[in-house]
Amino acid sequence: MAIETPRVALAGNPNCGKTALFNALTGGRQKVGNYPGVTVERKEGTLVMPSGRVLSILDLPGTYSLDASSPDELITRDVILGLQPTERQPEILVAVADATNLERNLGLVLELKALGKRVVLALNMMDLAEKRGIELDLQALARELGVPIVPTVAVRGQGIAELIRSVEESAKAAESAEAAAAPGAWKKPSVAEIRARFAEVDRILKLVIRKPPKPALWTERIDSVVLHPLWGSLLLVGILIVMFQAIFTWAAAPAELIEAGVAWLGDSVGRGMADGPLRSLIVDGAIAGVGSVLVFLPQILLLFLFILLLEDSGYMARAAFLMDRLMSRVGLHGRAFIPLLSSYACAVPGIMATRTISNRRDRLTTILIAPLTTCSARLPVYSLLIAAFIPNTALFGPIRLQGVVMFGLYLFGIVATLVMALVLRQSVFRGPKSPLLMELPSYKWPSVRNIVLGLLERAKLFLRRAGTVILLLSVVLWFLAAYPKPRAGDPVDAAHPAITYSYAGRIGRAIEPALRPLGFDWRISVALIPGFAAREVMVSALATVYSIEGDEEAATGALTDRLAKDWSLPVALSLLTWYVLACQCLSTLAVTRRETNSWRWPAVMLLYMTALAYVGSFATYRLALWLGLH
Amino acid sequence: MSAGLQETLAFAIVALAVGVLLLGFLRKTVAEPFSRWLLKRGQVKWAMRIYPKFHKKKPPSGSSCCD
Repeated sequence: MAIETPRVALAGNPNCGKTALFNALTGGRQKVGNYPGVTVERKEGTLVMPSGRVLSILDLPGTYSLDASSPDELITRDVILGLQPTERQPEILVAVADATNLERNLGLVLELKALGKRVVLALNMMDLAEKRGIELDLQALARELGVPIVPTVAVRGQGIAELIRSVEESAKAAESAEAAAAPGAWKKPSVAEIRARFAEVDRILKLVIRKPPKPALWTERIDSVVLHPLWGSLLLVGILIVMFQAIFTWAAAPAELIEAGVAWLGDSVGRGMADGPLRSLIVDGAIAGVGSVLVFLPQILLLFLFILLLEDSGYMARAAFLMDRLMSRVGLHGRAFIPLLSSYACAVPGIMATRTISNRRDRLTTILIAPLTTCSARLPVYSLLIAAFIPNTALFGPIRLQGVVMFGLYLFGIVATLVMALVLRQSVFRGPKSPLLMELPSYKWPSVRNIVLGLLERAKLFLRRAGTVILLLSVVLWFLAAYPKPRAGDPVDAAHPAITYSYAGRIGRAIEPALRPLGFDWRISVALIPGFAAREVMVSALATVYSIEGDEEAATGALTDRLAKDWSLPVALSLLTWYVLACQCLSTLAVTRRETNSWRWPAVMLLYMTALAYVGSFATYRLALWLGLH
Repeated sequence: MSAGLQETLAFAIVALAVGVLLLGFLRKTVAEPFSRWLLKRGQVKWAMRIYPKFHKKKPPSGSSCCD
């Protein structure tokens, strides 16, 4: 039977470098999506081999065994066995194993081989194995396993050419083979079978390991500081302060450049067109709206640069370990750390990542608190208000007030998350706590390639959002803010600008009484509505509203100056509190509905977070007024 | 460009933006859940017709296995 595009699946334990290998094999030729029916990420790419042949490469979620329980592990098993609907069974399996930890990794390799499929073993992280003094007899390993073995260092691209050659040979062999493993040719192993598999791993390792690993002295030395209850915690806080400081100081120059570019574009288009509705739509709606959000691209990329560096170096797992002490005190499951950490990028993947938590109570608690962590969509709102209201004065050394306030907002988010977790675990989801069992990976230098690919992906997502949802909402908001025009006889002056007669003005004034106790005027009330589609749209909505109101500064990008003149500090603090606590995101509610299979939990999430935000903003506003802040 | 023509073009752009937003909303809230429902009942072909982007395309003819 001929195979037009042979499919190769990468399977292996978590943290064995599978995704680095996938990136090395496919480069930028990747498509990321979801498996149908579940919310497990699906990554597929193509590999063009030297012969010109094209292979489809699938990066499967990490698993320790085919005898799986969590949804992502089940996907790996079902794809390999051909039981996943609408997913073609792979002809070749590349088993990825961590050469520094064969004892744990070989069990899955044996299971894959037992399926009767074509398996190539990529023995990854060989550089780390060498550094630790591990000597392996690869010929003996290949002989005992009966599969071709390719030593690789995926993060540096070493061994990739050999792996491609080996996969191509397997693809040729698969073409001429009679049949692949029959779908579903696997049964749950008994306890005796599992024991026999581990005994087989021990037997092979005795033959293969010529020299056992030296104790990892450096890792131990670094960990004695990094995992220390006091020094480790101080280091974590220090890293976070530097991160938020850098977001403000390093991003300033590129952000100003983008701002100048947006202003130039607005001016040029404005000068080249006659005055009229189309010119206003393009300049005040599209350019002012999208431009006001684009300015924050450097800050978002810097945030992700730090996150990727910390992840790739192995520090993030240590941070999880440090945080677990605090998290377990409020009753959170140790596995909640990764979903909560993902929520710093966006609550949607964070909520999806809770599928690794098997206990329903623990999972629902994590889902309900995940939107309280500070997602990157909040960053443009925080940055705008901090730049407008907080002076950039130096506190000590290079530490400046704006960076400290940004850190404070993130800290506020963390405290709110932990307090809500405690409340939920002491009331609705009362029950026993589960301990955290986690593996701490070795420290390593971050891979430049992985970091660059990660940042490109993030920039692509942000620009796509700016070019689609934000652009479309800016256009719609322009219409709502520009029409209907004042009728003949309606007074139009500084106290009654034309926008007050528009749909947006009327909607804003209708909502204003409910939000007035928080200090929000009708403009903020209007901007909060499209902010539900995506939090950062609030910035573009404000830019559009002020632009149409005829304010030249807002039209040319200096929205911060207008806000500083128009709003008081208590209003800004109240709005910041609202953004820390409110559930201003439809996608989060939709994914909660999908993950919990019920409308009840998204409703609970929306209600409790809105109530929390209202009370929090009200208290902040009143306290700021009482303190006499201006 | 006259003010009347500018207004017509601006309205057309706004209508297009509203249409695209509405289609996206319907796709997320109606087509995707319905497609999932069909998929759970084994109606793969119909699920793919209703929300094709949601599912993998069929493997090319002559492929080796499993569909």
